[in-house]
Amino acid sequence: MLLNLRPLFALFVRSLREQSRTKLTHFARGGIGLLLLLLIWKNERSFLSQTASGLFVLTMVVMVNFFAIGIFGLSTFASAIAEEKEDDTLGLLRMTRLNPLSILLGKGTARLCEGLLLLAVQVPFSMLCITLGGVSLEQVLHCYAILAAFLFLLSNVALFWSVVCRSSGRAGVLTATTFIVLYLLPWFALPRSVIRSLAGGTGNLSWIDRVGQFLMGSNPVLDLARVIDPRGGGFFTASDSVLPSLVGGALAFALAWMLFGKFCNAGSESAPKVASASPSAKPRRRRRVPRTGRNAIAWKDFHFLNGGWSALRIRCIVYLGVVGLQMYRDLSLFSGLSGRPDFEWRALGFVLLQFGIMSFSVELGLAASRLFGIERKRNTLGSLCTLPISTGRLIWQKILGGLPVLAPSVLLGLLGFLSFASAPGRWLPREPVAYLVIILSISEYLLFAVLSMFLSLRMRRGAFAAAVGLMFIGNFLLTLMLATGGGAGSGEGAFVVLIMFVWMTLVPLALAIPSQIKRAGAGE
Amino acid sequence: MNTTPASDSAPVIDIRNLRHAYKNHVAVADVTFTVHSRSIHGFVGPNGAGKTTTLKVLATLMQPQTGTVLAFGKDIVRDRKLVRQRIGYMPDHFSMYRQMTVFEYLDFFGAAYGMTQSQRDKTIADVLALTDMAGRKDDFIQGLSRGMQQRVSLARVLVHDPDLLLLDEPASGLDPRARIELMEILQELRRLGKTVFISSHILSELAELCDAVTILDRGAVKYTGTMRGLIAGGKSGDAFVITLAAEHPPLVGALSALPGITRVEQPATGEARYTVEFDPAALTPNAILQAALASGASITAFQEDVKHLNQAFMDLTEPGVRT
Repeated sequence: MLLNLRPLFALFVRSLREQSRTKLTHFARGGIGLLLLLLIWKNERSFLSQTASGLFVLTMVVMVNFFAIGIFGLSTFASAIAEEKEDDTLGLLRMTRLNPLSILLGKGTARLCEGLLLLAVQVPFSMLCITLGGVSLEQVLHCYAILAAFLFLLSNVALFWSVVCRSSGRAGVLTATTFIVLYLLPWFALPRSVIRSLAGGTGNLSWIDRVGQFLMGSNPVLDLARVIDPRGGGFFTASDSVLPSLVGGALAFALAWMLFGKFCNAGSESAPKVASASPSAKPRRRRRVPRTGRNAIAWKDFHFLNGGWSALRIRCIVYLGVVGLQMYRDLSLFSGLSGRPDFEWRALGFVLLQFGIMSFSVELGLAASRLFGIERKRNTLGSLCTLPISTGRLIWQKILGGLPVLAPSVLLGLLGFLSFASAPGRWLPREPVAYLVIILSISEYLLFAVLSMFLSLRMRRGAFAAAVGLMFIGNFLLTLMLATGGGAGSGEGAFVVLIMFVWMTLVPLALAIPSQIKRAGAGE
Repeated sequence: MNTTPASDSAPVIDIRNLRHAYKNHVAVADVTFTVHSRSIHGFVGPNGAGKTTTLKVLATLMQPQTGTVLAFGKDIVRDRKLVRQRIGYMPDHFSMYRQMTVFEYLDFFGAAYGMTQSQRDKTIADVLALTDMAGRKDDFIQGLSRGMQQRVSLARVLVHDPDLLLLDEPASGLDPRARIELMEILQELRRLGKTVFISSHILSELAELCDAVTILDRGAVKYTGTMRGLIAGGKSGDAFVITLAAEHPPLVGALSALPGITRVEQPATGEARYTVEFDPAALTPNAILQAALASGASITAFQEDVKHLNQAFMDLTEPGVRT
């Protein structure tokens, strides 16, 4: 029989139980609930004056849900099978009467059910949008159908990578990369489609244009915008994303099932990876690593945690490639529409600055959460804690080893800034509030890094996702407080208050990190 | 608590009234013992006795909640940095950077302890030779067997030439051959002047290796002192067992008449085994044997009454599951 239901059900229940015991699950649920409640509360007064306040509420609800599915989905779904590999328990599961299909269903479905239930429980409350006006029942249900289909796709793509990869972190990164390729890369092919459709229909489209248009059409964000505002909220290529998401999810699941035997071999768990029988049969080094010097911990982190020079090179190539594609897209769009080549350094600068800031934000959070998170996962923090150096120096050395990771994105941003602000005199903003914005941005980045680091010492998995979620909720709460408390009356005053709040959170968190390191080191 | 002085040498570890609790669970309660230099000191107890907590306190990973812990006469909290320089701690789990080669791993820890490159080169060669891993120095750690990884772990502990080694169940998970080889390395380390403080939940594993032992149960020290003292099990003097071919009642009278005899245990009916306890200062085993032969007994065996280590352990520790 293909499925043995009793052990499958046991695995499903175990997964549900484990999920319910994870702090991240409760934080995610509480965070989403709190955010939705606050959104409604904040806009309560405007509901009376607006004609289509239901549309506004639905947009916000959908946005929060999409964001939450993306962030928490990546951290939880990608660990479904990989966590069993990390804990060396997959072999035990395979020794039972569970076959690969049962394991995939038992482990993957529990997480998917949690997500779907979280969406389902919101539906009755979202009916409030119909009462408020501006949306119909069909629109609300259609939005939730799109979200549910996206959740299905995300969970199965993550499940596939979880089967292929040995670590949850790698599975998460590859899942995110898959969605970047699926949903963002088609943007670069967009100008060709735009120009050709403007020139005369879709009859002479190449297969690249067709694939690009299909992927753009199945983008759930565009589909949601189309459903919420049918008069033109969506992009012109947007179409129904539910079916493609469901088919894509099913395909990913089928692939995961097919490859389960190849990548989830129990024998590779306990046995050494490279069984070198004799000293002569040594595995070859992939890259040359220089000998360590005075800053041994920084050396170790740079070469073995962050991939060393080769990882830096790859980052630079990928970033430059993406920037090149973006430039190509913009240039071909504008020159295609205007009929003449149109290149501006300022345009390039804007692209570089934009991409630099975006990649820096992601890299910073990931690097900060990996700083001690990896040591905790590998149970190596205790060894570092017994070194004859202070905890402060240990932290400094770890930061020093992680900083080069940020170099490519900082360099891109800096280049972009220099190209964008063509005249040196324009670098310095004239308005005092602009300086406050800069101070606030730097403070927020610092808080994000410290929060990610702190959470990685408290949680085994999902520290980055939790940090992003907390930053989002925290910022939302702060702006809400300022808006309701009258602080927003003066722009500068509001920024000063925001900066103060950020530092009031940042300082205690930063001061708590050394004790958390000692606690985590002793707890191994 | 039973104690037997272990040695006259200076204590390397001096723990007084150590107590450590995790929320409501007291892991270590009022622990006091000393470890002398250039010795191998066993730290034995059932699972959950508080061994790892004590070792983590000694390794400066945890601070004692009450009591004082001195290593080399220095307070492990106040002089943490100095203490860390002179200790090597090997935890009870594998904690290695598996994507490094053996040499890179040892080189990293050597540098982290502030050693120069030339110092590292020399010490790494020495510890690799000692642990018999010289031929594997360019191998990736992830490709080594468990026993070899344990050797690399031990080499890491030794790389900065510490005076005191704190080893938390280093033999767990090793096959019998790897265990014996590990014990041989530890004996060699004692010969080189190191003090080894080694924990295990199997007393017999340490019997031949250790000079002294501390037995811990439910967070309290049940015995600390020499291995011999543990085996003697609180008897007033030495004891021998005489086994006869058949029961021989006159033997009791003959032996009791000897000066220095403290007790002669008569056998149960049907058995021909007599246990004789005596003061070794007043009497020799040879004199006892002569007296027994003179009484006309047909002796089949004459041997020292050594309490079985496992029995000693069982007598000192309490039954039941530790929580």
